[in-house]
Amino acid sequence: MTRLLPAVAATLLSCASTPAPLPEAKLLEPARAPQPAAPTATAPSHAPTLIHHGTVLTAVGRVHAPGYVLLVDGRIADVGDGDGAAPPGATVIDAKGGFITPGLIDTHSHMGVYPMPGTIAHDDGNEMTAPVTAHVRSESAFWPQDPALWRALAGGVTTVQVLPGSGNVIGGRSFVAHLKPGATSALAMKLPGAPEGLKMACGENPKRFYGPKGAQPMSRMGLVATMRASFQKADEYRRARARYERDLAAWKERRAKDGASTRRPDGSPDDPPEPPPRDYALETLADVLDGKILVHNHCYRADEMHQVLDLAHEFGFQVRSFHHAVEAYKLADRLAREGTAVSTWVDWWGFKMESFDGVPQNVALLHRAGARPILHSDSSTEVRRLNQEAAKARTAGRRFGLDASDDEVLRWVTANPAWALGVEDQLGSLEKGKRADVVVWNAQPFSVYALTTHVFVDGELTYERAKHAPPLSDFEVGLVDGKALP
Amino acid sequence: MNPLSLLVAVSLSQVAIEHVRVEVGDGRALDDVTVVLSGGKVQAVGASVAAPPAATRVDGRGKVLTPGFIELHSTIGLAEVSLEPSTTDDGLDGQLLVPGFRAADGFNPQSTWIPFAREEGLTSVVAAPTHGLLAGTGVWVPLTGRLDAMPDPKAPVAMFGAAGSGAADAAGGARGGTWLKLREAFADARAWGKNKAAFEQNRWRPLALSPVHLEALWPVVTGKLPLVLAVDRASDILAALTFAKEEGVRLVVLGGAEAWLVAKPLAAAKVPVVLVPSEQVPGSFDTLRARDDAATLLAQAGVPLVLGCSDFQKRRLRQEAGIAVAYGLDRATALSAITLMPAKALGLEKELGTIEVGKRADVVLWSGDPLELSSVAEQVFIAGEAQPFDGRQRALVERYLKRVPAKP
Repeated sequence: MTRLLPAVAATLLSCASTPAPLPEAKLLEPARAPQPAAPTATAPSHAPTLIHHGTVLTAVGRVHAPGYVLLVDGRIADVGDGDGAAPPGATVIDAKGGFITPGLIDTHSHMGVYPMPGTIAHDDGNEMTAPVTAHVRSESAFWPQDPALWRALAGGVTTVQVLPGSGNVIGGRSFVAHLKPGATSALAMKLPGAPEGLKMACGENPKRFYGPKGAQPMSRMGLVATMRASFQKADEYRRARARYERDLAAWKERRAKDGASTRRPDGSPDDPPEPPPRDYALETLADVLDGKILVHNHCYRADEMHQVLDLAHEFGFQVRSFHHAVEAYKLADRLAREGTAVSTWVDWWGFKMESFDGVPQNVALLHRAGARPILHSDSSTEVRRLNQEAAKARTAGRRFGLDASDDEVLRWVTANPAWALGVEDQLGSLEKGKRADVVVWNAQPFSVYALTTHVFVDGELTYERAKHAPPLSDFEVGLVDGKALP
Repeated sequence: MNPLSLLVAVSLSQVAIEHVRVEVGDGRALDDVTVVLSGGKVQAVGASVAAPPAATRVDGRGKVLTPGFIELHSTIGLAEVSLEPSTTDDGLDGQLLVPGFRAADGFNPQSTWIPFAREEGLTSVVAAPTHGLLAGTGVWVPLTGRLDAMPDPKAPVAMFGAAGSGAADAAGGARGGTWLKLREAFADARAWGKNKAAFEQNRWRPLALSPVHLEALWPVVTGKLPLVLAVDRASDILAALTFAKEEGVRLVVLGGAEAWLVAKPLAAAKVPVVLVPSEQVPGSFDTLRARDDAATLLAQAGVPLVLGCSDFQKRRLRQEAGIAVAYGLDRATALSAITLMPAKALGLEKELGTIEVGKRADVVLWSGDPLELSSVAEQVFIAGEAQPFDGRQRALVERYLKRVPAKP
């Protein structure tokens, strides 16, 4: 709609002897595609909560043993040693013998777009109709009734990035979902203030799909060329957009200075500039070049990560994080220098050639190099045990004398992913003022025996293990309580 | 033939692990005992056992000794890089009934998965085929990773098949098709096995399968070789129980997401269930009623419980056992479910699965609680031989520890 309006306005202006009643200020917005609807923060209505008597792991280096966390109005109001003081009307949770951590964050999820149960009808995560689909958005397909979402929550995961799949070289936009139960739309779960991401993919997956069709990319050559051509177009698009915005600003300035005049000094009509045609895919990539959308690149091999980093330098954008990246340890020093995070597994390895050099010490080696390692799931099942994956990553490192503290290990599934998603100011640690996403565990969370007992999102108790609550997903209503044969 | 008989590379070394806590595998635990491994077997276990003079002595104080873990259904040695067809031998694509297929024929003891899995305490697996309604036989293999550990294809330990929604799709789109084809194959195997001579004389009606397949099915139809059937939905498990009863088959349920709903009849029929605790989610319509405490419910009902790991996570058996404990399973039962119980399900419990005198010396020495994520396997013995930690991953890490600098 907005695309047509400037032309209509220009026609009106050129015909009218008197200036239009200035609708153009509203009509002639900069040449930006409409952005996905932005969520707004809602004020929580629940009472304050004090959680105390447990060991508090903050993910910012401090451990309070025992300590407390106070949640007020959806935010962390206080964290510290000792019992803490409960404000009037507060709910008090005794976490004696337990642990208190920030909500865990998974940077790589397809929950909602490849929901459970797996059916043909549920395959919504890959738009493999062209190798570049930067115009599609995971939120368009997101199904909030995916039962996996609420099992992840029970595993202490409160935030996930929902990505398109890796079938395409550029798969589309991702969004950050905050696991607040009861939502019937993606928008209602979209974390306010979180930047969107762009999913890109290297290597075997796009090759495997497009190659046999005789289409580019059939090879890694074609794949990198596809990326380069896309960003070249995006750069041109961005220049055209900037040019238009400049011209528009100049036109507005002339209008303001010359009052009602719609004519140039030579008598020709001073029409507003024509915006360039909009292209939602290039719009997305141009926003990447502007640093507004964060790049998340599925990439296994070290040489391919080098390729992408070089390409990013060529076009002047940053790769926020590599995903899977089982060979990240081979360029850990460069990743640390470039400030590119790495989301990986511990021992998913060897299932395809590009994962053959995966080692369980990947995270420990990245940690040693000062890079930003993250344990991610890429699985609606594994997402429930990010704490265990972090624990395994530490143990694997210890075999080689590479250790990390509890707090550092916790950062691999909290503060580091928060940074990778660009939400580090809101989430990822237990600090005053941050969103009150808090998990209570019945044991040290890096023990295989540990389970969550309480999970809070924005200060609201969303999961309590001791309570037999109805399922959070509509899909499971009437299904879960099967009766065993006597 | 004993499937283990050809595989014991007799160890000349003697090892004495002293002052160690032994978790036997059958539910018992013995504190501060000495275990002597000799001639490939467990020679002695006890508090007053003395280390033989020639034995290598290992200080077991503060450590835990368990039987080596056994995975009952694995593609280790069969599928190296699962998405690279040139490296996979775990079954025949698109063929429904190939009971004569022998996983042993394709097993590669030099698989890079073997040292990787061994590091996590797995000492043997059943290398098993995966495709079709009857995929073929699996073979028990010790994870020494050596060419003298080639399995005997004539000594399978189980027949593997499937009967859930995936199998139904393959069989023509309906579950009835699965059971139709299985009944037909079993009827032919039974008839043929009773009158092989007539076949050689060309006096036989057309058969659903060729003799090489019927021959392989004979020990299954006669109840000698177990049939491990991948099946999750409660109604499918009941159908499998009925089939097993009618055909006189020794059934093992693999998967069993909804087995807890039919735990009573499974227990009554003494049918073991191989469950992957981390995967109890409604991932398909066959598993809608999966629940995290399924292992606990099965054990409480008296179902012989075996724990397994998914194909993606071929080595994490002990983590699976730990997860089951987190959801209420008794810890000793969990350990048993990855040691003695898989051996029992295969009928190999006389030689495998516990640390008892006379049994194979497949044992693992742990730095602490073997199910806990912070523990590591410090030594792995297979048939009494200390195994090296020499995986490809280790070599890569050592290389890059030197090449990539630590944070400046």
